Amino acid sequence: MTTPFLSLNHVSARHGKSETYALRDVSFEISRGEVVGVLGSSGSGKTTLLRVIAGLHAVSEGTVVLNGEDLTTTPTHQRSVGLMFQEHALFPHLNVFDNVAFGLRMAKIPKSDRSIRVDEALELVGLTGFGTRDVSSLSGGERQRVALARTIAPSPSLLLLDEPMGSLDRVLRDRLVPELRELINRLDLTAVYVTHDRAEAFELADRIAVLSEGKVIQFDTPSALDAYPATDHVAQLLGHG
Amino acid sequence: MVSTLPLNQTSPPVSSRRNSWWRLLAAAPPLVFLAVFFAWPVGAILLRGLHSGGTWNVGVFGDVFTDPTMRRVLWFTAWESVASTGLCVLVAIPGAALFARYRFRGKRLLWSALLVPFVLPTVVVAVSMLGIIGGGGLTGINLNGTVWAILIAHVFFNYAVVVRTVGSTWSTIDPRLEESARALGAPPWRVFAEVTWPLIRSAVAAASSIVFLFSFTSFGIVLILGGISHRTLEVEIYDQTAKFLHLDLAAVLALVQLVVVVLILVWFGRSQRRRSVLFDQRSASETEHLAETPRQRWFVRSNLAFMALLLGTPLFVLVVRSFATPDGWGFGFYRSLADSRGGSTSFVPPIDAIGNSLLFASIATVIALVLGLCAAWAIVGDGSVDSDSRFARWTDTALMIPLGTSAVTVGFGFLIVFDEPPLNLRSSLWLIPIAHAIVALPFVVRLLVPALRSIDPRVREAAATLGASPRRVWWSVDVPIVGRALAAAAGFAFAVSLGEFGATAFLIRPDRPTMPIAIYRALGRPGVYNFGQAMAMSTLLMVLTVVVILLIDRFRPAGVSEF
Amino acid sequence: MKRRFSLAALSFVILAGACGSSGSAAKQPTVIASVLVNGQLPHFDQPQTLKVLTHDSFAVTQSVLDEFEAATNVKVELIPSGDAVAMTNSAILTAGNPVADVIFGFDENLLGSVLENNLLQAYRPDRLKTVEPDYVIDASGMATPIDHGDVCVNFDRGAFAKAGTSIPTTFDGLGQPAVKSDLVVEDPSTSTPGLAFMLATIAKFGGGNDTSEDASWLTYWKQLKANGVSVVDSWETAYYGSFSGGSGKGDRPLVVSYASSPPAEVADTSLPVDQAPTGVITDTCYRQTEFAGILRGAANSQAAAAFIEFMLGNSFQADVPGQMYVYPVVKGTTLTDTFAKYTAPVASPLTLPYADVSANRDRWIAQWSALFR
Repeated sequence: MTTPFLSLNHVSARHGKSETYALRDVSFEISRGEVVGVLGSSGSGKTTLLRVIAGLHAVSEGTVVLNGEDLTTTPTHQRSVGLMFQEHALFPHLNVFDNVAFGLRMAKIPKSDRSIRVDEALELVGLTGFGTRDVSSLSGGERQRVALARTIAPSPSLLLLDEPMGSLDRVLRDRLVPELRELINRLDLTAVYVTHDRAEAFELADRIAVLSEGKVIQFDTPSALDAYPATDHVAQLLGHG
Repeated sequence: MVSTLPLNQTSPPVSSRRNSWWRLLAAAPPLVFLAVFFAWPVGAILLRGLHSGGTWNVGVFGDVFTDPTMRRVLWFTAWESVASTGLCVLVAIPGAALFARYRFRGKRLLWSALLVPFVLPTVVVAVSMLGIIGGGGLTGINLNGTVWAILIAHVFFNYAVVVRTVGSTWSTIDPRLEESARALGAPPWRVFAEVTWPLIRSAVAAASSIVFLFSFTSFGIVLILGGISHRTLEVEIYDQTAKFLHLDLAAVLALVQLVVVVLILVWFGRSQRRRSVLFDQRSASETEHLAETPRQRWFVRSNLAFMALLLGTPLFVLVVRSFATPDGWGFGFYRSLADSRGGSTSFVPPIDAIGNSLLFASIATVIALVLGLCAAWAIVGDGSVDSDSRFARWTDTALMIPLGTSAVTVGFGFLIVFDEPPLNLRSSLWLIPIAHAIVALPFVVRLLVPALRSIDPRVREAAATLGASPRRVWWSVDVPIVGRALAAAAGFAFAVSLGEFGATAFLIRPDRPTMPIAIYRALGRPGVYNFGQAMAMSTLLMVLTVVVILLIDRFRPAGVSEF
Repeated sequence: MKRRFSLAALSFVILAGACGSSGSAAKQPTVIASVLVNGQLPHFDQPQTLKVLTHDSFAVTQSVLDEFEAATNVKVELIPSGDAVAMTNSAILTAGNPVADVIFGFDENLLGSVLENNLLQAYRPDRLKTVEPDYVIDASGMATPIDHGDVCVNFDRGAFAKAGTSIPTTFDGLGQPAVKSDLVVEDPSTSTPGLAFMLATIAKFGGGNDTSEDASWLTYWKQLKANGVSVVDSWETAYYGSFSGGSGKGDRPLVVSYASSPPAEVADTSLPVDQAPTGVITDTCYRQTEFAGILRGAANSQAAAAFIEFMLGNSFQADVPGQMYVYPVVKGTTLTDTFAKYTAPVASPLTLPYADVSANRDRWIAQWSALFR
């Protein structure tokens, strides 16, 4: 087995200063190029898991190691992770180009290279020529693509996706999920993908972590999960009975 | 909910002719009110100053602009108000962030209590501040007579305006925007500069315009804390009008003040509009969180400590003095408020003063609400693109002008225009609530406009296409949504009226003193009991204010309003 | 749309303004005959209303005012309108069509402008003959003296005792290094006692006709300035903000206030006079007399005349010290115990002829301001 690309070692996280835990003793490892789905009902801690990896939520115990480097106390902006939210969180005061270029500017990429890379990113998501558009004029699907372009443009070492299809309707989702899978494969990205939707998780993920009450209760390939759900809860989440 | 600021709006134009007709009708009451109770008296007093004996005194303009003393006054007023505004925004931004992003114990109470300085009478606070930074006081620092004392006092009075205006806008910004920026590699200061700032900029502009107006027309603070070498235009206008009756000079200065105020308002209005950005608004409960990391906890604590220092200390000194009787600590001053002190006519039983204050505040609130609703509706129109007309902007600006006009100009103007029936109002009780309503109106409008704008124009259009008349649309769509904003505006107007001093002091009035007037009167006489009673009554006014503001905040619609 | 609006508003303003000025033709002044009946206040058959324009410091015991209302059948409505200067100027602005019937509270520094602007109509009260002749300043008989006070430097006895220094007794003493940075005064351009104190220095040191910056009274002010005098805007700021003997806990033991201020600081009336918390430097006192008059165009000049007589009556005169911290002008009026005990009679206060003040006041303030701004 190769050295893990991302590993969480006995990570726990609290809700604020309170005594209740959002994550309890979570440990898992992910290899480079792997796409991991995180499946769980709301309140299971799956979003907190993502925020812990991104550095947006403090770890109370345990360590987060990315590419051999302990990131547990590294501030978010120095982690080089790409993060994409359900609501896309596009900057409303910037146009499409400037949204996508944001991370490149932060990374001090020279202006000429920046515009080439923005165009590339937009082309990857199928939005060539959208650069000057105002984000408020975009449709739901277009917003999702811009958010994706913005996230991948700075070439993050790890992609974190928090229900990226959550705000889209079923038809759009069915079209976008395969596209996303293809994009991830093409760019050979490592990704953690949070969803509550079984179908999405199965279509995108190499392996799936099932979360319940802040704990990982099963972590395996989709087919293994399907065949041997560890608990009734897992079976329920997978839509069995 | 999507706020429908008039930028980038792409809904189709609707029946604009009928629409503008209705808007004109709605704008008429507030504008006529302003014309009669503001423009007319001010115009008349200016005319009296500039036109006498059948000729125009044009020469006075030259005298004013070449007189080095006047030039110094103009220059000082200009830079003092810019500096006050800048400083206030600078120190209030962290406070706004605190309220927008963090959940902590006592947040609601503090949010309400913030407004106390804003409505307390200047003279009370200034005397209390002298006890802190006047040398020999608590700190031993002597800033009395320096421009620093003026700036600190302006920040003290206006801090809440910036924190509350910017804070409530900030709290509607999705924190995931900032988190996305962080994940994209932006360090905290760049997150603020590149993401937060562009989104709060229009709220900052709105708050700044108010702070600027208050600093520009500052009177009591400059007199008491600034020493005699610092004089603002407002002080000069007061002296030239009330002390020397040099109406020509006063008129020129008042005109200068008017021009600067209008220019500044137009400039602020433009930058506010140019910079306003359409964004998805979140409710405050979604965007606030507990301080988690040690750094966040430090941020919350240092912010609270700063507020305690800036706002708390002067108020604390005031409250302490209200209990420090010659016989030791106790309620002596409060008890003495109830006895009639030899039955003097100048003595105002506090219960009467409270009653007067409540009465005037109630009437002023009703006037301000009715007119404010008309004005807000006229400004917003039907929320479509063509609603953002010049007309709306000028209405908005016109309503703000009284805030930037000298109270003595208006007061003396009242004297010379309302002297004949049917408008023989010079010594009418009505003038007080009317004057208060003029001051409260811009605040009411600024609370109602965002609420009205939050109504999706498509709902209105849908109602209209279903055959509802504009009046029906207004009644069935706008009124329910605006109800909560209206309640909040009512409370604010009430608080403004409770604390209003400047205009009330300059009006000829039958003897129905409000609380600030009663406080001022007690301070105008020597003796330990007079001073103590002024402090005790100020404390009561503070408590009354907090109660009223707490009630307002209970009705406040989540997130959409300023102040 | 906007243009039409402002035009409409403008024409409205002009129209209304025109109506206003054409309607306010001055009513003819009448000479009012004495209203007293056998030396007593008249009783009106019909209930009357009387409006009295006052400064904000006006006060009278309610029961005393009730006496007047009961005796005359006149209801009194008080209209406080700022300090004496603002009140007078507002009356000037409305001359001929006044907001009230009686004006009370202008002093000799304002008397000149009151007379120049023809604010009053003549009434020579019967009871004027009971007034100490020194106070009857207006020969035309329009302005009736009602009370007088003295603006004097007050000292904080405790502060001097603590420092172990002696209390200055003269103007010159205030300029000595022993009291460096001890004195706080009010700006004469914004404060009535401030103006009085400046006039006191002019009366004392002379040079009032000297327009240069070397006028002898200004030389004295230069001495004060070098000795660290503090100038503030108002009596309130000086007394409560800066003075150490007031209740506001300032740090300066000398303040320009009134001869009548010390009694107010006495909480325990058994205290001997020489132990009262504050006292007065009598050499610095400047006389201020307050006047009342019937406004020209008054709606009810008969009741107004009755009120003037009332103000010279015993009950009002005796009420004046306790309510307004000033002294009565009628001979032989008895003072209340505390007041009599803790105020020293000012034997020969400084004064200036009111015509001089009226003619030169603005220039003097300008000269003073040039030194201090």
